[in-house]
Amino acid sequence: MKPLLELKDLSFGYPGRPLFEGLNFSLQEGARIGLIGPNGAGKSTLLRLMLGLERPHGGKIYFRGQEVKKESDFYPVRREIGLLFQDPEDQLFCPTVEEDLAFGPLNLGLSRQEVARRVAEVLQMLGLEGFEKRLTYRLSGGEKRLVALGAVLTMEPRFLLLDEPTGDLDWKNFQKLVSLLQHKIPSYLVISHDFEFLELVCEEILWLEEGRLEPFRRDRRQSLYAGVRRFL
Amino acid sequence: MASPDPRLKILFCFCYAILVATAKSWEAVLWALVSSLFFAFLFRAWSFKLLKRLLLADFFLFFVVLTLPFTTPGESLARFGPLSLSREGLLLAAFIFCKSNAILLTTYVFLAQNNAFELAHALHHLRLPSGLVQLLFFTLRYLELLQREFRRLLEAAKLRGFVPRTALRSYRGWAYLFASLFLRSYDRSKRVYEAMLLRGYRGYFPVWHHFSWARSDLFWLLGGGIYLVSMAILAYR
Repeated sequence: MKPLLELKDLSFGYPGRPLFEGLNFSLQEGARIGLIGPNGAGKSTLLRLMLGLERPHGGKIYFRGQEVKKESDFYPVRREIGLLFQDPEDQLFCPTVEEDLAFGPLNLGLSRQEVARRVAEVLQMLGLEGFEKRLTYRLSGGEKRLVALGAVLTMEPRFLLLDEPTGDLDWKNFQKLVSLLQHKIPSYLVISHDFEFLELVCEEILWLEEGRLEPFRRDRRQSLYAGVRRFL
Repeated sequence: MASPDPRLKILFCFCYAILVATAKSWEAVLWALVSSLFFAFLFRAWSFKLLKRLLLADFFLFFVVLTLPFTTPGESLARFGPLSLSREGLLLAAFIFCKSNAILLTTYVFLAQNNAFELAHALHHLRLPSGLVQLLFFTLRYLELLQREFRRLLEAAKLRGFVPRTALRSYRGWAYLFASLFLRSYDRSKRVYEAMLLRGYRGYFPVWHHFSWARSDLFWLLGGGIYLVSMAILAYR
């Protein structure tokens, strides 16, 4: 099957901090990928490159087999690949929950009927019925996270990118997220430092370090814990 | 009684302010002042907060009211050394004072009690330039967040022994605090913009919630219209 998005021979770095050199990676529909790695390895940057928020210094990006380069090339990519930000505060900019969930689909030029259907469906999926008129800036941390996720879901993306989604979730909301990922969202890539979480929701876990992506080995986890134990 | 549609309120206040500000006759200004007091009673807006806000605004008027009687030429009522208090100046000062307070009171009664977001929304529906409305809206949305961020930064600084004082060391602390607040705000604005781009933003801000026209609004529209016309007749007679 042709991959949805493909990065070929990609290189990128920030001034004085090279990140990727000749990186190859692809997103297949139906994949459930976990991404783990040390702080500052470029996990979030990788997601930003995929959606055209950063431009690679070298290499090529293909979306459904077509090369994407310009800002406008990325419009269809962003339509089909959704990103949940690390900080939900950045993602909720509309006054009410309902307004925020409708922002994306309205931008896509959908009919009001269809927008209403999507908003209602997503609210139900997240168990947030009755939140329509709530003011976004007065929600609790966990609620903000769920609403931000909802705002991405109303775009009905084929692939979802999640950047450390578990940070501000309590146990109940954590379970909600896990069950959503397991049952409702078919394809995603999720960044997290939480091994247990990744093992619950991912079929494949990748390790990103020094610009290289490789399958995460369980023995590495053991050696990590061993490394910690030495300090205890 | 249902509160009028916010769009109506904005339009009403706009026309009212222009009429009162340009009115030439005392009758119109007194009528405006009396009716603004009546509005305040009708919408139960009297409160300590209202008086405080009026006083704060009147503080700016204070200097105008103080200097006008002495700088306007006319029939002299009293002399203080080289200064002469003129009858025309006194009347003019009172005229301006009454006008400003009538406008302030009315706008406060109709607009200040709304949710600020609702007002921004209504402005959008009145086809104000989208850029301006968005500016207002984002300021409202992120003001609280920035305030919280600043308080957090200040607390963190205080926990590490920072004492807000008028000393050179303190000033440097303040400078660092403000600098990091600016940087954070800038970064946040960039991230918010990116979040909008990812959800298909192309420079036009779509609105989901539309105000619906209630039957009571017809009553408000008629009442407001009659009132404004009567004001206009009085003002430009």
